[in-house]
Amino acid sequence: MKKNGYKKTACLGAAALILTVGVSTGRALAYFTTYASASGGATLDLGSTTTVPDETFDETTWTKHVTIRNTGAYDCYVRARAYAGSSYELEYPAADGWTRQADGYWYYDQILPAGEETAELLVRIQRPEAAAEEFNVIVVQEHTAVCYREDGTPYADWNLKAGQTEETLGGEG
Amino acid sequence: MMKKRKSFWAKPVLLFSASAVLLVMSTVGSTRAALQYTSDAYELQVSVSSIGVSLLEGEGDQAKVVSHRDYAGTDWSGTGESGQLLEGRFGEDERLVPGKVYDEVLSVENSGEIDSYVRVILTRSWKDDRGKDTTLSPELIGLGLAEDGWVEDTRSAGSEERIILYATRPLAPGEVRTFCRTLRLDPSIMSEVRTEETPVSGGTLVTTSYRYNGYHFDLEAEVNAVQTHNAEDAIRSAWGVDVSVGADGSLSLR
Repeated sequence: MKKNGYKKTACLGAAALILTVGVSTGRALAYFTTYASASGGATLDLGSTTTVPDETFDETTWTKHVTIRNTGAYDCYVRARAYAGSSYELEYPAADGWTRQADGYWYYDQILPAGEETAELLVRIQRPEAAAEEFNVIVVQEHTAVCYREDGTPYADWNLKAGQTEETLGGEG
Repeated sequence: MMKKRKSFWAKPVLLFSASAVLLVMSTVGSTRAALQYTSDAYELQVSVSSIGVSLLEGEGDQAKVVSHRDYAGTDWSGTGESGQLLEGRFGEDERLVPGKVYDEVLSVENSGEIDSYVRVILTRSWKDDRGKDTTLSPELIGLGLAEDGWVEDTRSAGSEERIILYATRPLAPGEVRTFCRTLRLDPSIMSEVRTEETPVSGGTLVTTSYRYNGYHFDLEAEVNAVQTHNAEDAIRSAWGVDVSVGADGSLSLR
């Protein structure tokens, strides 16, 4: 019986010692630290601009006068091309400010600012001698947003094209 | 029988009393020492090491402190929170354009009086009116990080949102070290689109809207500082990471 009493005494004594040491250890583990933080950001306003083609057809010369107006709030690049049936060949007699590339599209050389209009792109339709059936000439125009390289140089990425319209001119030959 | 029960409880009570006295005495000892320092008869100047850190935005003379927390002898100066980044940067005059590189120079300054090791935690996210949207990629918020003087901890970052940088050398009092130089939203943001076709007179209008349009990108920067004395233990205790500190003070991640 007395042996058990000593054991209890020893255990309680050890517990009291651990408690006392624990209090001191807490102080020893305090280190000097500090911090500072800040945050911020901005809202991404990509919008989606709209371009509208304006086409007039001169019946005396069988020429379409195509311009494209940026009616949205953001600058963009534009390109256009025309399609016709195999009997109707198309020519582009005047294209100041436009450059034709291998894919058949005419690319407007400048960024088209919001609210501005391109120079005219003329599309002349070669009327065949014996044209009798109905025909369609389709003008497709597309726009894409202005992208920037790391050095700030703007460029057009036509894989990201943002919008397009197709205008069809119908008539009888 | 009664005598036996009394002796069983007497010893534990005695021992608990003894331990309580020990605890109380340890407190009293400290209090007595403090009283001696402030007594009228003897004046003692106690010099306490003062730690401090500041987060700076901008470069050179244009740099401004956006947040700081320094120990000023008896109390803390600065809250260390509520700093504002990119304040007034994008507004009516300049629209945020994906792909374009913007200067965003962020630095940490040791604004204390002792050498300190520092680390930086950068957190990037997208938010809308409903809060954070974790389906959008924080990696598209590109940061041009400084390469010299920092090591990135990719293991502890835990997600694409967080970037954790450790200064490879301690900062001396007054020393400034830049950890970020530029901000650039990845232009592939513009390839995430939804397309809508609308019949119009004589044709079809195809309108494309951007998935990221209207989202707010958020950048949070937190800088932490810790003492250089007993640095490995201090960093493990304060930041929860294991580092090795060389004899020359250089820090590397384990």
